[in-house]
Amino acid sequence: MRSLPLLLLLAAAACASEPTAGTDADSDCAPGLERSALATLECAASAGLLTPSQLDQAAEVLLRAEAAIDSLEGPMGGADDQYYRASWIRSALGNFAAFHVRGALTDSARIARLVDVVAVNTGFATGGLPVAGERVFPSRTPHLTWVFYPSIGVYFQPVTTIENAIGIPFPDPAVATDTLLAIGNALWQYATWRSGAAGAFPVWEYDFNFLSDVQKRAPWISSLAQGEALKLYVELYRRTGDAVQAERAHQVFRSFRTFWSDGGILVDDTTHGYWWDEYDPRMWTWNGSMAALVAVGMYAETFGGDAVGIAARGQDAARYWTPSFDTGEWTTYSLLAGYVTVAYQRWHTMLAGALHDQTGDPFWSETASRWAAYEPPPGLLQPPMLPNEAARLPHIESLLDRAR
Amino acid sequence: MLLLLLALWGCSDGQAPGPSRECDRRSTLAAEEIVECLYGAALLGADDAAVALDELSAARRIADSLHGTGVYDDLLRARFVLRSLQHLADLYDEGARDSARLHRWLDHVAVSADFVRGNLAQEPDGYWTTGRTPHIAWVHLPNVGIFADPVGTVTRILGPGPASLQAPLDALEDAGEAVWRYGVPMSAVSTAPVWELHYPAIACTIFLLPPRRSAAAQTAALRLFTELARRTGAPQWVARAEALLPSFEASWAEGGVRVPGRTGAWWEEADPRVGYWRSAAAAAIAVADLAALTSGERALQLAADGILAARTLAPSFDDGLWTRDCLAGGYQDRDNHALYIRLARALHERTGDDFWLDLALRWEGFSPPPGFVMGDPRS
Repeated sequence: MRSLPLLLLLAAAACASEPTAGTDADSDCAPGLERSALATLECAASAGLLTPSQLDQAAEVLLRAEAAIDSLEGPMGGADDQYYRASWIRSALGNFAAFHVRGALTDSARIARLVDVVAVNTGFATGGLPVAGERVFPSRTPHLTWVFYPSIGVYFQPVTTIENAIGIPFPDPAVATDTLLAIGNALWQYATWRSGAAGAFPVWEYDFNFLSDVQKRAPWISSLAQGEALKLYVELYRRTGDAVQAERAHQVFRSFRTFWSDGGILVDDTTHGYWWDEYDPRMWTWNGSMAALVAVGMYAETFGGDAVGIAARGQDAARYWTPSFDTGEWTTYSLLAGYVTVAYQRWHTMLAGALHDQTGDPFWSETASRWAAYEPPPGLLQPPMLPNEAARLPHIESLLDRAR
Repeated sequence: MLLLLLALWGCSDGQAPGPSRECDRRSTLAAEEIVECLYGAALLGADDAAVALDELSAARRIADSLHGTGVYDDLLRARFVLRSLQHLADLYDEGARDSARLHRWLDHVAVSADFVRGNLAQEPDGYWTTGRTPHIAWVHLPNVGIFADPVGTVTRILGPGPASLQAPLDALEDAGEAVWRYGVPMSAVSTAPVWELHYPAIACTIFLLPPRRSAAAQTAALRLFTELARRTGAPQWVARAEALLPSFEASWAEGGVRVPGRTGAWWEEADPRVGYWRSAAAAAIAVADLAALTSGERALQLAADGILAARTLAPSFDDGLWTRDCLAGGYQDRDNHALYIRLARALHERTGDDFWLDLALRWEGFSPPPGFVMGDPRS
């Protein structure tokens, strides 16, 4: 098997160069997954997306991250937990190149979010952040909740941030306005912005890849996140009468006016009405989409105008599609998935009740009554859940208990 | 709409209509619209487009018929098929678009429909086989789908490597023909074959979505063709093995499996951010075996570069206690540790370099670290 020509080549290679550290990717800033985080940010800076000062600040975060990796991977002590922790940081560092390759490294706000991901994962991996269950509360982003996803790391979670404060399905009047204001202000500062036919609108992006019944490549958005933000700003306006909160709600609502293909959350197919999907127009997820519809209803009640008609079209789609999620025994998670968990069945029932409370439509009260009467089908196991939902489940259960 | 387009095309001068801006609507195209888009962009012939639409229609009919029974298990089966149609759109969204890839995607849809109807055979080793793609092994991933597995197709015949099992020649030839036909062109500018993976994976904390490319798949095909060349002496297998070399030369960004910026030629299994030594070393061995067989200058140089890269980075996978799964991850299980040792010994055998023998002996001396959990699902 041994090859003489190969041996000669190997000898030549060994003479020519003792193994040395590799060089970084080429310097022309062509996107490449192999490019380091810092080199990618230098490309972003040279493209005018970052100021020298912003680049310096980001570089400090990256240096601390590299130092944390070295520290975690240095002394082992007989377990690979340190490697696991270091891998969250490495994964966070890898986001810059992945976004660059995807053409998504397009503005300083998004870059700043990715720098936060590195900083938060560094803090989490080294045990320096307050946590409660799967939720993480970094001081770097006050009032914003992050969630630990096993195998991936820690990421900002807009829905958890808002739901935990405001309650489900409607705002909890017992929650202090100051609390909601603090979250509302922090969330507003944390938005990234898109433009569509309805104008510019804020979105709260998820910065990790995600597999559901369809695949979502970061950064992706969700009608559930947009809906919770809408609910928050409508509630803040209702409580304070502050025009700033009204304007924020109007701007969030533009994402509901914008088709998915144009960067918004309105599913392009409006044959049966308007559907704002939690994940993807090809998936049709009931819970998040209906929570978004509840938020649209609140907005329409509060501000009127053409939102009333938009909410009515949302009701059209919800009434048309809801039977497709109901087998007569139990409900399904999406049009592509199977039965939901017991907790999500409760959540579905609560949402149907909320839609009845909003509209007075007997369709929803009948639906809620029927679903409430369902017994878990024989053999119903805990269905395999999407990572996002699995992380959200304990949170949902406590929120359901609180709303009961 | 396509039928109308096809009819109009038949009356025209034979020029397919140009691609539509609508074809860039990410996340919102149905599988049928994708066929129209490929046809409109002249990436698909009229006959192929018609066949593709027939196949999609057949899959939808199966889903509809299952959905209509009112039985929950059938509902799940129907949705399994519908998800396969969405996978097609996922793959289209990711960019690489041509008729060869469309055929692989249609295979996924058709095999999914066959799977839910119980028309596939499961082999004793767990793989599924289908008459639609004879000799290609399929793997069923619960809650994800059923997918062609080019690596499994080879390893179930030749073993995990680096040494190859003595498989019957006719089985090898059948697999060789099937694998060759299953390749798709590396890029718009290179027809070198690559074998894409259509299922997602988490590789050492990096969540990878399909279509994925992998040095492991390229190496599997190279091992197979080289083994066939060695056993038959037929020039066509040498030619097919050598046809893969551009994929080992091309960078990841160019559609190949080589990670630029590293000493030597590092061939990556999952993603340049991950770094799997086992695949880089196995690829180097496979290229070296081809080089030993043909004495081709190109393969010789590539093999030397690949071995240099594996040698340079080997210490990064060894912390003195145990070996690491990947550059970005933690310890690996016993099977993979044993694979490392076999790879080091194989490299010693091919190079005579005592570095590899010392490394194999060192790794053989390792004991699993205290608290080490076998089969840790995190990675």
